[in-house]
Amino acid sequence: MQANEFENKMQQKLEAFQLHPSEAVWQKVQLNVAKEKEHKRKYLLISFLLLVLLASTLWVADLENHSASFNATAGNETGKVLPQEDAKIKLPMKPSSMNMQEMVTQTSINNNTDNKKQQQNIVTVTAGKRTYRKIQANTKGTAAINIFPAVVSEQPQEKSENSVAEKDQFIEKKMALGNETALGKGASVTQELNKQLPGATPIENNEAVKTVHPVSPKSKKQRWNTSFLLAIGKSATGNKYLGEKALADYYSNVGNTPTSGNNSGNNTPSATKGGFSFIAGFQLSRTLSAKSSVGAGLQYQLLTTSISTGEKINTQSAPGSAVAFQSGNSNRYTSFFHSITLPVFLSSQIATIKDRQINVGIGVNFSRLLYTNALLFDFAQGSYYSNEDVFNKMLVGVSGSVVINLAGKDKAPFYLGPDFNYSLTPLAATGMYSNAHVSFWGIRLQKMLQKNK
Amino acid sequence: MVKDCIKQRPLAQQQLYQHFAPIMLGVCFRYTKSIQDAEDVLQEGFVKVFHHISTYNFTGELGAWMRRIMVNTALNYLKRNKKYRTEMVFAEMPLHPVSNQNPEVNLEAKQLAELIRQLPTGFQTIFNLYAIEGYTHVEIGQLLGISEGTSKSQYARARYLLIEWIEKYSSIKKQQQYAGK
Repeated sequence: MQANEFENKMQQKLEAFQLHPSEAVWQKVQLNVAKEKEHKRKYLLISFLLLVLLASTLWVADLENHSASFNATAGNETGKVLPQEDAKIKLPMKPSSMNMQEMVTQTSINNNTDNKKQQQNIVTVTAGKRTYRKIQANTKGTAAINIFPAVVSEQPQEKSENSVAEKDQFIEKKMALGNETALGKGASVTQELNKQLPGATPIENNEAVKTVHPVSPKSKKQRWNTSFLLAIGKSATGNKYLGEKALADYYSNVGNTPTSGNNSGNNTPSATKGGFSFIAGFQLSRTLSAKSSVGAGLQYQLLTTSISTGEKINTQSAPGSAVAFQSGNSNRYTSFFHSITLPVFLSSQIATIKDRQINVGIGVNFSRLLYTNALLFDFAQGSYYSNEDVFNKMLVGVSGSVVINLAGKDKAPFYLGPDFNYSLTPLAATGMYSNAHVSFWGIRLQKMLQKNK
Repeated sequence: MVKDCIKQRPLAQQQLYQHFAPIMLGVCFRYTKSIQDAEDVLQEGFVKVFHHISTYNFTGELGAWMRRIMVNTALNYLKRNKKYRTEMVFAEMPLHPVSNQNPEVNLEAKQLAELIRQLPTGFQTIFNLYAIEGYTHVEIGQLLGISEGTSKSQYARARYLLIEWIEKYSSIKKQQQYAGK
């Protein structure tokens, strides 16, 4: 215990030692806490926007799938989808009694992928301007297309709740009848209908009755597509905005620029200038619908910026630093930022110009900074030194691109267009890069390995 | 107050700051060389406190929990700040023969803290961690990335220097008191 007596005395005396901080400390604490809240809000907002985008893409995909199955009922022998107007079959009407036409289309599709014959019935009902669809499985294996008209009501067509409900009930009955006839009893619906509607043109003679091209279950399947990309452009490190800016401006604005120092040059760091940069990697995308896809990838990024420095000085004044420079304008120093990025993105086709698809992509990037030789500025000495530890290793950013497919119709897409990346995480936790964000503008070249279906 | 701080209520945060800032600045002051640096560490430390206060489990003393945050913040500050990094060179030294001395400590807390700050940064850090914070040499080794032996030898050297300075300072003070009488 004797040996620890000195330590105990010191501990007792110093544990209660207090000093009163200046007012400015609390203000800075408040400012930083508010900044953190703002960052949190920013990330939440981005997450929300991404969720909205994902939800809307899925919704659009769902709509497209429905419209594809509707069009399939009106397809011709070659499988080409007909315009909806052509798909409506002109049926004979009794002018005096028929003021509304109901049409029930039942399409039976054979799927011979397995030895077992499975049949899928797509029942499409058109009631005035309303269309109803119902898909039913049938194991009987009989293929048939049955179309029959029916008189719904002699009352004038009204858009009231009751009339809609009545129509719905009627259509349900008709669909039940169609199913029973075609599937249950195996009898010809055509004969049945011709009996029921003696005034109508026999359905066998109707030109519009076509064999519907089967919808292959494979074509509906979502699938992965690989692509390689290269983006070449220019990067910049800016302060809370996307262009180049002298970090000195920021410091002078916030009043942090020291007024003293034993340097021979300036007391402020040089402006950063963007330099040649590129991003290369591959992506895997999963088709959500004919027009949208979601995916992720792995990319290598090399971003460069440059600053003006003075002469190289001995690193003894900056131990641990690989290199040190005076401030000045006699040299140009290039900073390299090497990183590996995991992009997660959503891509949507927004337009087609002369058979060329135009896609917009947005995403979130998670980057790991592998190495940087960027210099930091020592305000006291007025010199530059390197310290990689100061830089944030994990960066979260956003990306966007607008690309056009340059490949021919039957070839795997080759996209070209502007590409943009912006890091939301500041480059460093402290020092002159604590408010600097890396941005990249460039041209993206992306080659898909498989053709889009 | 802590629960309100978890809810990010500014008034509660201010109250917590006002209550703990003086004692925490005392901690930061011992690890740095200037009051400005100590205030920088304090500011950074309090931002961390407010950010991580939801992880405080109410079992230990809040002051002790905050002190640990301040010490870690101070160590990080020293590691990344060039002017401290220069002196944070840890080399194993032979144990000093007078390292077990236990002199009288008649100085005020502030004077003692000032003397600790006169030590080279490496000695200063290890002395603070071992003698005041109560870390073991193994823990110090893990915190600073040095061996247990290096921590021990550096501490012995720091202790020797500090004792020497305390004795000198005390004798000067006594002489001044006699001269005053």
